[in-house]
Amino acid sequence: MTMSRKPRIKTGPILLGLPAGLFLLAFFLVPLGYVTVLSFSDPSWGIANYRELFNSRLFLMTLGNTFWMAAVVTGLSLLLAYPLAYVAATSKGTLGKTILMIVALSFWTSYLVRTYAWMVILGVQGPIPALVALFGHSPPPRLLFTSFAATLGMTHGLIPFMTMALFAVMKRIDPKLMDAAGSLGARPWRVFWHIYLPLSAPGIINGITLVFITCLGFYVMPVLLGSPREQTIAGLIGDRMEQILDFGGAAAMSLVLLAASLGLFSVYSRYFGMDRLWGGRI
Amino acid sequence: MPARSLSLRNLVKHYGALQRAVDDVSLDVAPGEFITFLGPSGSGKTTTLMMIAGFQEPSGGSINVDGRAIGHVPPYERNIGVVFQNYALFPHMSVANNVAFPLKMRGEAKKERQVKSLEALARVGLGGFGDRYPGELSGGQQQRVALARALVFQPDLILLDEPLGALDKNLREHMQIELKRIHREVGVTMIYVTHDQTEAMTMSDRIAVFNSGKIEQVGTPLEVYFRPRTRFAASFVGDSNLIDAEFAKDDRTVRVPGFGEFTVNPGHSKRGDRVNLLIRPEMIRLRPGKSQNPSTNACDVTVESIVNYGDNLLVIGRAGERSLRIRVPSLDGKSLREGMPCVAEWDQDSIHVMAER
Amino acid sequence: MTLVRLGAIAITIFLAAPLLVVVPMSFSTAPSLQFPPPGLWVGFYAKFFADPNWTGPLVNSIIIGIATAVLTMAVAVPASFALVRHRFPGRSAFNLLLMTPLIVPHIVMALGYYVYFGELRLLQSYLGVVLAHTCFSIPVAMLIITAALKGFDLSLERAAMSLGARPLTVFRLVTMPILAPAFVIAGLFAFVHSFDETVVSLFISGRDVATLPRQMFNSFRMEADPVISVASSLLFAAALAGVLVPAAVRSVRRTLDRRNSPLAS
Repeated sequence: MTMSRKPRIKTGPILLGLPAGLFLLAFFLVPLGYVTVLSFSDPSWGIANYRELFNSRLFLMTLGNTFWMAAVVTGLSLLLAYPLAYVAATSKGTLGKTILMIVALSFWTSYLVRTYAWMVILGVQGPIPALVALFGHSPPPRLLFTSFAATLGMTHGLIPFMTMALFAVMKRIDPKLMDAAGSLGARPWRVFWHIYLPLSAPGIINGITLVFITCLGFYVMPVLLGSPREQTIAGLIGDRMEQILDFGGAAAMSLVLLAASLGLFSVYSRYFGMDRLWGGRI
Repeated sequence: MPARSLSLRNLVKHYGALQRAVDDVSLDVAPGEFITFLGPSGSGKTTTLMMIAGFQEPSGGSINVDGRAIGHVPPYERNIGVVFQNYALFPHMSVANNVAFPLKMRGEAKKERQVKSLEALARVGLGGFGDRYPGELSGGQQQRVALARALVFQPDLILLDEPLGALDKNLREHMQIELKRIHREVGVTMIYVTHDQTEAMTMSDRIAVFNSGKIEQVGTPLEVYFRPRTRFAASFVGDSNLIDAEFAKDDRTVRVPGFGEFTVNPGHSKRGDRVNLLIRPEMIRLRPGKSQNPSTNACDVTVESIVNYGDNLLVIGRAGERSLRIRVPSLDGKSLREGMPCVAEWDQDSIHVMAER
Repeated sequence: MTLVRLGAIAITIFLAAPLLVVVPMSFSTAPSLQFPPPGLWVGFYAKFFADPNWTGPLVNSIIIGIATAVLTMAVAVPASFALVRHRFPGRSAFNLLLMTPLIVPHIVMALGYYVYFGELRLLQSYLGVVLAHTCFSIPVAMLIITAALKGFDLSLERAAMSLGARPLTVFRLVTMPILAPAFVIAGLFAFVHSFDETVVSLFISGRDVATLPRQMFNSFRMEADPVISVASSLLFAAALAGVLVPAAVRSVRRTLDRRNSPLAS
């Protein structure tokens, strides 16, 4: 008996993927389309919303403030997460395990809980102002509802993300490479500079992209901890919707925010590849 | 265990239009035989195995077990045991549950499963390991569990896909002996895939040499070693001197540029035929000095280098543009030095003539 | 080297310390955010569980979280198999579509849902919140499931088949149990993602199906209700459980398989 087979159209993957595809089309892409249309149509058709935005000093300042805050938070969390991930990836003892445990715990804890914690700590009756007052600063400085509080809260909130992105790459670095560099005459800091740092660079890039994009759209912490006078775009969009019911303006702002997020992401995925971005979260 | 025959007829597997992974393979395997598919990676040996197991559908041709066509039978109805390269033990099941799995699939009673899986584990020397988990076993032990699992349901055939590849050398040799013992005891037809020629030589009743999707030769280990049909088979199995030559005047004299003329046993060749000569390095004798009377099956060489393998020496002898690989027992080669002029000679019977392809 | 380790310890404390502030606050006697608390009692817990403004959202969040996890898994599991096990035209575009919800800021989607669900009459409904949360949970679940699937050794399925298991049996006895921890974790992530989601809930859940984060967010903004500390502590306890659950799952599975052994008497 002889068999021959024609290539057939694969129905398997289509059937498997269809539910997810249709779901996201109907409940993700369509609402996103609504935002786009809204920005050009409410209250009247045209680009008036955008013209207004880019003539608004408040909007441009907020935009600048959002990017600045995202940059500061990203930089700080990289600075703090790098040694954390390094020790977790290289130490064999309990310290590494403890770090991963705390990072995971922090990761799983709601932003609202962490926000609440900072409200207590930085609040007027909290330990930090009390401590500052102890050193003779009277009355204690107002820390809560400032950009400082928002930056601190966000940095604290995003260190786990950054650590995981870094750790995912670092744990794959072969420790023998460092030994090899040492045997070739490199002093420890040069081993780090010439070997470890370049090898961990993909993790740094993943972490920076992830944290920066998250910061741009962050709503909860800037609104609850930050200063009402130095808002972020996300907060401004919320105000427009809730307080002045200016949906067209909110939509236009949303699209600017969306464009920034997607733009950054496409630069990232163009040069570094999409699949590795969330390697650290798994 | 009843032994079954296997017959492959014009088996073809292609990916896309051009790439032929398996290209017209035909083979008959006798009941109870231990046959090895030997070849480099990408030669089609594993693809052929996967088609026999039913994991890949043939693009053409047929597969018969005891005369029954199984080419279209799904793998779970083929009753063929497979031992995978990485063992493929179910990590979430204990060793006993792994071995009892095929019996459970066949709806056997719990009592029966227990008796048979214990027996199979005992056969591979793992009695008492039933409660362990695969992750707790060494590579060699996992290998034995995989074998027990493939044996326990009395399959028609057992297919083994490079099963010893991940083990270290000593363990590998030990497992080769074990596997042969089990084959002898059980008597099931076994098909063994490997790229390791030593493994193929030591274990097989017959070897099928695969190259670029085709079987180049099927034969006993000795046939394949001493009378390879093709240049590829000669070079892939064992160490070899492969020399192009031309029949000069009759069917016993070949001319080799750079070496002169050799005498070979008469065959089907005629004057002007271009052929490949195979002389195994261990069939060549080496003695210091120069040839006195120029005989046809000898030549003068200069020792170019000597590699010591402990029990034997590999001597590279140079004669002009050409070089010969020569294996000499270590004791016989004690006096050899690099640069020394020597005579290399061999018996007429040691030259194997292959038609040039 | 030791300097780096000391630094890492300091940063770990910086990460952990604020979380530890939350629990004592919930046992505080002070009606305001005073730390350290002047005294300890359980009064806020009593208040929390007696007040429908808190228990209602808690129940809502649990319902929405479970529904989101179920719906997410129902679409993400097959999609993950399609992505990992098959090559088909449009595969990378499909992958991109599945991942974009991670990039798009929630506030943008909140506006989109507000308008879109307004038209579909899904505002202030469980279904609306669940649909929105599922969109955000799909990529998270997909990342976990596809990673597990990529690590899944296909020869295990082949082995099961050669041993006589039919495709559905292979899935039930081999594929599913081996991937179960990943499925559990993916489902848990989907649940937590929904349970913690604040921004979209804030704008579309309304008073009727208010979620716990919405209630917390609003009480942060309106009045500094000390009962928040109870909600926070409960969420923190849930996170603690989340860190411990995966390890527990592993040990339970092992016990079950041992009981199933043909050698067990």
